[in-house]
Amino acid sequence: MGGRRKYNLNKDFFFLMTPAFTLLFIFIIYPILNTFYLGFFKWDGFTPPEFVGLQNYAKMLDYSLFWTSIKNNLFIFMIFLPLVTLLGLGFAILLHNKEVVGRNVLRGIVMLGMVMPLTVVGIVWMLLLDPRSGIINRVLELLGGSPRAWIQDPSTAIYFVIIGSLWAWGGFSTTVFLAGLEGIDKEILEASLIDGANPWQKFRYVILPLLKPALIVVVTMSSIYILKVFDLIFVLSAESPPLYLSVLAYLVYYEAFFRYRWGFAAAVATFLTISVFVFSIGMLKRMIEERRGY
Amino acid sequence: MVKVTMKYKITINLVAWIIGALLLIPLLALVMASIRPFSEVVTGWWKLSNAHFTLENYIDVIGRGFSRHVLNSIIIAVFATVLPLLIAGMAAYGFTSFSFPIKTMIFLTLVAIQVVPQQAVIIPLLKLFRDLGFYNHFYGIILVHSAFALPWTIFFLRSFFMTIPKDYEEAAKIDGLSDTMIYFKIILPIALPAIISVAVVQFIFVWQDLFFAITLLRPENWPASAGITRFVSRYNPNWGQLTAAGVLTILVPIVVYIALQKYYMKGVSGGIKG
Repeated sequence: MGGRRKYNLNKDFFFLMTPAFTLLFIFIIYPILNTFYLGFFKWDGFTPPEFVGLQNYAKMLDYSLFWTSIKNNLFIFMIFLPLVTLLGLGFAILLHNKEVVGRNVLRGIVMLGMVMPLTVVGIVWMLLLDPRSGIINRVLELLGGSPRAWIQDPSTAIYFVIIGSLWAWGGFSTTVFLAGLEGIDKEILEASLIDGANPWQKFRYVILPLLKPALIVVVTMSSIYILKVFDLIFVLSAESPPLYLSVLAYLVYYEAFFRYRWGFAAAVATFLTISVFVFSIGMLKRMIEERRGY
Repeated sequence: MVKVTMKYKITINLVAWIIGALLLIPLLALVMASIRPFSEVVTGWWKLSNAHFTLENYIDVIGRGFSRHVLNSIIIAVFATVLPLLIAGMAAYGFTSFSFPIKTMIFLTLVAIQVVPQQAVIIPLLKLFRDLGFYNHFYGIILVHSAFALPWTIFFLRSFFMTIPKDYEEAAKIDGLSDTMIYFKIILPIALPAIISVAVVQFIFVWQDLFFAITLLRPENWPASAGITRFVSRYNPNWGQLTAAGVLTILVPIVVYIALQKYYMKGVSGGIKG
């Protein structure tokens, strides 16, 4: 890459760059900045906005639905993240094993949840968890449990969101770990065997450290994914907004479209955006370091 | 020794395939419930004794206008794949072959906006759409999806372009080709596999979208991923219609995925996409 000319701009440069940056500016960069700005206004979307300073943020702290949303976001996050990481790693190790027949078919099956719209994933799990027609309740009965209305009962509905997200996103973590395993040098593994490492030691001291980059990608991307969870909650909104399941992304939607508090919704959206950035800082920094100098 | 290996082989295959079968149950449930009458789904779609198979549920949902939603999906996803690819490829080449002021800054911005949630833009977008008359028009949502595709597609294509030897470009420059011509005539054909990878991921991603659809379009213009929610009831679901609509919704992305699996995997693991 050496010997690059300094600032070799010409007409073609502007022709190549202008369409992309026009779209980016109009539909992403300007709206993000504007959302941040609107968070300081009281606005119903129609009458002129009224500047209220930090009032929207103060109101958030006093708003029980905001705290419900935070609580749901955190609960989903804390169960989803370890599960999606461990299940993905476990399944990747299994699929990496040369003895397993039909590995490509299995790989394809894990990814199926990822290519389906989450609304369909939601409908499928509604059917599986249904008190009458659901296979999960029948299995529980066979095992001596009693059937439950998992989704209709507000105290268990959140597990529907977690299991739906797991089924949809498990393919991603499996794929990333699998790519990581395939990238490990065979000679290093053989050397560890010659050194007399048992399978656990081999995994703990040789494979796991080498999987760290994959682990960072999985943890970061899964965190971002689950913080933005929305679709599986929206699926349940036919009769009325399922507020007991509200999360930050849903709260933005609810405030803007049901209560017409656009300024307040903008403040919540800003809060969500900042939360997502906090979780992605580690990976963003790594990406930046890798690409620096180009 | 051979016996132990055999036992190990059987166990590990058993475990892998039992997990695989369990992972398939949701899809099996979707298909089974869609091709059986409601009375049989209620008592268990998995019971095969006295099973009847019917296409009635499909006829019902199509009669209730679901094919319109699938058509909406096709229109939105096709245009929201082709347009950003055209634009992103040009910009990615601009990034690889030019140096310009604040390049690093622009690059950092591109990296950062890859994680922005859709909710972060929706309120200003709604106002903009109202002012410009874009609301409820396909071109509006197509432009928004295209913009959101740009950061990661530019990234992905740029890293691919950087692997192309400079000799090609230099030879073309000597022949007097402009940078734009070099991109379209030389780089683009070489980059075709990367372009297909990006296209498959973007197509499936747009097909899955719910949030922009429900906020920027009226229900009759919703794509299938959103239109299907009109059939949902939390307390009294009509499983036959719901699952038939579900099958119709996933048909296109599943076929695209199976046909182009290799490219999809490359796209998912190469670009960071969430």
